[in-house]
Amino acid sequence: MARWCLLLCLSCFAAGVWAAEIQWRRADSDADRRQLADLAARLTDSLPVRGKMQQQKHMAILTAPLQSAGHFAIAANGDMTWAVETPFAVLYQIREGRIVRVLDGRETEISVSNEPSVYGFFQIVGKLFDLQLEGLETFFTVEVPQTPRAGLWQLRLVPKNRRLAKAIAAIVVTGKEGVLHTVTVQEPNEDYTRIQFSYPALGED
Amino acid sequence: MAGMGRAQRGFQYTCLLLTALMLGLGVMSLGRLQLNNDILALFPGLDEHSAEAEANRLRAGSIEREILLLVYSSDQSRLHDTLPAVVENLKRCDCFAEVAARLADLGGGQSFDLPGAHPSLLLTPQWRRRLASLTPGQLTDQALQRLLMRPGGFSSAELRTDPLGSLADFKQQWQPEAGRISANDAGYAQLTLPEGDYILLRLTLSGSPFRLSLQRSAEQALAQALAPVRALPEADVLYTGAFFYTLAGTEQARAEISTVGLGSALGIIALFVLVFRSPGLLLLAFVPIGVGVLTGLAVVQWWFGQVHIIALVFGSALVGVAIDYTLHFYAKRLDAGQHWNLADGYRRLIAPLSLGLLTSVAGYLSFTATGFPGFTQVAVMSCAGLIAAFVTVMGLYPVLLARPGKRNLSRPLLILLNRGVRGQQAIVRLSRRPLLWLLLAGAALAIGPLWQSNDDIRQMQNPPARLQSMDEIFRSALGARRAMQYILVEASDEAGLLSHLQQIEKDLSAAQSAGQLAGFDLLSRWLPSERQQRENRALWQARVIDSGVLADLLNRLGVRDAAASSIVADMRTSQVIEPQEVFGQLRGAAMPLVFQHRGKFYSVVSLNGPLDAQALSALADRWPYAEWVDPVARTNQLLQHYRHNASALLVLAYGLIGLLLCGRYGPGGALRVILPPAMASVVTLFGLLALGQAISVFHIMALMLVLGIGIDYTLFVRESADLSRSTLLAIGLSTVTTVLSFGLLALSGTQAIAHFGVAVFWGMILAFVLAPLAQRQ
Repeated sequence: MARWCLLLCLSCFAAGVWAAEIQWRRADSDADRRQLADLAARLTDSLPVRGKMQQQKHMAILTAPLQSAGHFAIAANGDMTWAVETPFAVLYQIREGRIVRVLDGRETEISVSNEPSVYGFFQIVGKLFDLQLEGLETFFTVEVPQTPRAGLWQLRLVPKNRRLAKAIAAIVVTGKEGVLHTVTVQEPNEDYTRIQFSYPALGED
Repeated sequence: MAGMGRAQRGFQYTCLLLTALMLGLGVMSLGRLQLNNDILALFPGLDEHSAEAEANRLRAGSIEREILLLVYSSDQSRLHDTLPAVVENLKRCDCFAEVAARLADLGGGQSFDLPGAHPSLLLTPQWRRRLASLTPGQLTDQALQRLLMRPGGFSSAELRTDPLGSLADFKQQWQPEAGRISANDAGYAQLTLPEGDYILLRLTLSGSPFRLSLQRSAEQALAQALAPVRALPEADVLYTGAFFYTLAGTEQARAEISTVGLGSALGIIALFVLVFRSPGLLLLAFVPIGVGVLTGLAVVQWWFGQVHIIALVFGSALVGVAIDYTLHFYAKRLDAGQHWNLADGYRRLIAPLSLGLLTSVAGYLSFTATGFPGFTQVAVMSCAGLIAAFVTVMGLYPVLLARPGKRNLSRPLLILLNRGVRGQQAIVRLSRRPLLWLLLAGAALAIGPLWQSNDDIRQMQNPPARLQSMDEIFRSALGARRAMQYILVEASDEAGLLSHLQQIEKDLSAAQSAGQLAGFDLLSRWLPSERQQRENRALWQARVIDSGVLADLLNRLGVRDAAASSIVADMRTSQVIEPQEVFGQLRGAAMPLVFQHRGKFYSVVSLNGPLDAQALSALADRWPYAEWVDPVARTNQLLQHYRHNASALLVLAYGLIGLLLCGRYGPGGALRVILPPAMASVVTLFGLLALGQAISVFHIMALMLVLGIGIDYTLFVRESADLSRSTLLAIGLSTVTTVLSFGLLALSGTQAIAHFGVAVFWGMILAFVLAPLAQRQ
């Protein structure tokens, strides 16, 4: 039932597009597991990391996607700063699992009950940055492309739980080397959310 | 049995037959015993048919069966690996109805969905204020900010069903404690304490925690299931729930029964070895006690459907008084030596023993007049046990002890008894001096002003400190501290009930702002009254729809025209939720209690402490449809009331026994017979006061016992032509065994039992010392 929380969280963090041309398969062979472990090690090694993020929310009922942008930083121990700058300035700080929102100088603690979607978002994103497979596989089946793209790594997370699947069709994660570049959350309908990360400190913009 | 008359023989055979019958019934009923160790069950409850009693029953049903566990290890990964097996093992025990470790399995408001929920109908007081006070522009800006500042955004479904987020805020009220609990990586409910992240498990017992069989199996299941957790590095297991308190209570009672039983048994064995010097007689002495205990338990189980643990402790000790019958029989036979004549001995014993039984039973039965269910059980068990022991002595002993014993009184004992008789005569002489009485009266006058009483039930219980400290950890970790006090609201129909609750919610919110209570939960937070829903809908219509807030919000988000029209139309139309339709679904441990009783509707308003009981009680007085319920204060009032009643009854019992004895001894003789236990009681009471002890109802109960047994002593003294050795031996031995049993009760960790024990201890010693005052002049 804890999945229920993530379901609620991720339903709000939902959306997504997916490239229909990519064929996916379950990452269950020994070779896949080794590659995923290598990838997790590379992602972990790249921490701490800081960069910019840009979010686009595509919804069928909207004439244009909603956009927001800001910057983020993730420490080696998993602590995170997530600062949205536009269209509204708001800061989220995650310290030892405790999520605090700072808005107009006022702090609010975010819990699974008072804001399940925000809580779930950080639960998932936090695990993606260092690929905590154990935590992710509690709720998702991890898939890899049949044909990997040169220079990029891609993963698809498909909900195991039916209730979670009602809100999220899949989460597609794309990265290069030891960093994450795109997270796309596809909802069961046409809506999706895409978050792009860039790392000016690494020469990316 | 040569020499016994026909009537005597008939009586003896009847007793023998009854003994066999009672023994058989007692053995048969042993397997069906059901023990209850709830101390509150000792006290008179409310009218069982009252709504308050029903509320208490329903509240207790959900609260007393809940067990909360917090488990921790520094190796979180291994802890998570271990938990599925822990949960599975616990589920395997029939003793648990539910075992939950995953967050949403914990139940409460998260799993509740109100049919027909619509944002226009369900508004929190804060949202009503916001809608009423903010301008349309401010409302739109706030809604936009809420939607766009969230990482991950929002879904189209959310926009369609709850565009302002007001419905989510309303449902937030359903999870008062959930804010502190989070889901960890593995989906387990996690609670962060200063020591680290603990996993929370919620268990529900399949039956009452007072059932001994359930206690045993649940304790075993918990120990086995949690053993792997305890083996983890730096493991810690914290627990709370009524179950652990009842378990501790049962353990304490068991230990005290063993101590009292062992002390009593060792005392009796030592006395028998020293006085009667016969292993056969020693074994035979336990037969009436055994038959008495078995019969007492069987009668109590049959009469009440269960045996209270206090009844078992006190009742067993009281039945131990039945050893007196044996002692009188043995003492008479030992003193007669080779001149023992069964018919003569039987004739001499039958009158004082029967009178003793009669007065003891009358004394014990006066317990029932106090109205205490626990003590009614003690009385029934004691009476049944004493009668059984009496018929065993009168039926079995003539068969086995018809011939004279092989041993006479030992020389040291003979010397001791002769000295005792002289001592008793000295006491009688002393009692004739007016100076003694003047001194006693002076002492009474001096001690009188020291009078103090104690009727606080909390001081009479002794919960283990470790359980209390763990309880405190849970309370501070989970936030709200549910108070014992609550408000019971009554109405003739569902709509009326919700309407009353709406008013109470308003007043309690003000009281909360004034710091009179930490929080509260009530049904109207789950479902507002129909009137409130209509008011909400009108406010919503005016401030969200007609003002253009929603249309503006959708426009600024860039929602397509068709979708925007559809959303506005959906938000414009809503159907008031009728309470009759959903009342049946308002069930669950976390929900406010609502029930129907004798055609009326009731709901409980739970309060969170710390709270100002006096201020809230005064507030509740202003609502004609509500009642302030304080179970602890009510019990304390009852204790005081019954202390007064028991005191009056004690005086009445002396009067009645005096009247009963007038027929045989005349007024003067009857007064002499009741004087020693009465004096023993008064001196004990004043002694305790002089030592600074506050008098409770349990002291008064003890004095009833002093009357019941003390009268036995004086009857034997009175029936003896003079102060005989056999009488002194019998009542002396009886005093030693009684004092041993009840003296040990004075060491009980439960203050109520200790009070009882210490008063019986001194009361019986004094009753023995003063017994010679009953002799004929």
